Amino acid sequence: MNPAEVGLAFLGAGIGAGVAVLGAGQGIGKLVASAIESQARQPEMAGGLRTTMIIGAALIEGIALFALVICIILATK
Amino acid sequence: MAATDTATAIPAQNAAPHEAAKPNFFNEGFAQLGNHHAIDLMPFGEVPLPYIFFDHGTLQVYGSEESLKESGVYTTNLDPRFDPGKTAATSPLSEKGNVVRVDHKPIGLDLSITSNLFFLGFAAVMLVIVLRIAAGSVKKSLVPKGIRNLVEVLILFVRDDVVAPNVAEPYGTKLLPFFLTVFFFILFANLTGLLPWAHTPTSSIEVTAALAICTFAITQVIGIGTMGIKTFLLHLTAGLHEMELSVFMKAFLLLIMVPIELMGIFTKPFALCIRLFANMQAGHIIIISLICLALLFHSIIVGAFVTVPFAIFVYLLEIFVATLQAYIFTILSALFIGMMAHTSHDEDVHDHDLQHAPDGDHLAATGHGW
Repeated sequence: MNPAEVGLAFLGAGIGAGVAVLGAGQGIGKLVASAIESQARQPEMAGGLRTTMIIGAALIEGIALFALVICIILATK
Repeated sequence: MAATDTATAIPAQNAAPHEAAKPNFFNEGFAQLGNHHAIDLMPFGEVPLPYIFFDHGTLQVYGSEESLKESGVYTTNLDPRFDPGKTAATSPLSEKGNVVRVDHKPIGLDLSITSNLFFLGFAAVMLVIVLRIAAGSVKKSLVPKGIRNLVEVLILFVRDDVVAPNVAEPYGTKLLPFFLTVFFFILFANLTGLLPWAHTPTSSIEVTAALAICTFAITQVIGIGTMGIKTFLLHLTAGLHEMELSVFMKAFLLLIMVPIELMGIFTKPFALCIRLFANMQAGHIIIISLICLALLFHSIIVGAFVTVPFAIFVYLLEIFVATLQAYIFTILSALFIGMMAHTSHDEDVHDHDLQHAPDGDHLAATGHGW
């Protein structure tokens, strides 16, 4: 692999990681915002809402980590 | 002459800048994440782990890398005897090189005890020891003492808040051992990676894939076992078989929905696997990158004010992520299995799965309980 390809691979990995985190941050931010608002409206539902919020956050983070794994593969080859 | 000269000159030119571009400590740092054939107790030395191969029908065992090279048959691929062209690793994760035969044939079956496997066994042994101590103290007194407190809290949490709302009645009790095993094993395995000198078992994709395959197998077995093949296959249509549509529309929609549903069966366990693997790898990669940052700047100020605080923060975050990922794996497994486990009193609404999901009132209303 010549240096140009290696450099481009690293650049792609860096940009990919950044963009993936952008999407995940926005998604989880929206999720937690609506969870907090719902908990404020109905405090007795706080436990169930917290559980659902954590499951949703884990699913969104899972997708962001797909992108991270591809970035790692790019950066180490 | 000129053509051959340039032909041999260009590969050397391409090889050298690539190796020089990556400083050695990056390779060494990221090599810590890989699989090693020795436990690396950093300031004290190294404990070599045996190489075990099942090659051409015979079982070969070598105690350490020196005896491997002395055998004359096997060596690592960084050895000049194997490949005179290669002088150093070109990929960060293979600092020590893989074991190869000197005569370039493939090795049959590599059953070596590597560091990942050793710490996998370590996590399993710790799990059994801790849970045995907790279970043994049940006979001594009904009042929990010591580690039994924590274990009981976790078991009751998994039973009441993870399994019971998601998995319907008889299957909840039957599958509770599976969920408890998955939860505690992933918890112990994730936390093992935070001990000094230890590798995280779940940070290798083979281990997480095996766990995801277990969940997948149980999902399908429970699905086919409770619903029968016909209803199970009707699930692939995602409720389209009940809609009032013309044959054309149904065929067209089925053509789209069935492959998507089929892929959905496989992407859910795949996502479980990748989520756990990447979460565990990410923490270690961040810590190693922070350390390499300090080494890159050759400066102790960067080390003291950037590396150590951030590394401590990421370390504590890793403890939280380890516990959270164990919980997430368990609850997603419970959700997937619960969606497939149908009991007799919801046969008539079997296609309205989404309305069945976590619903504690359902249990209370029907009077079923633990």
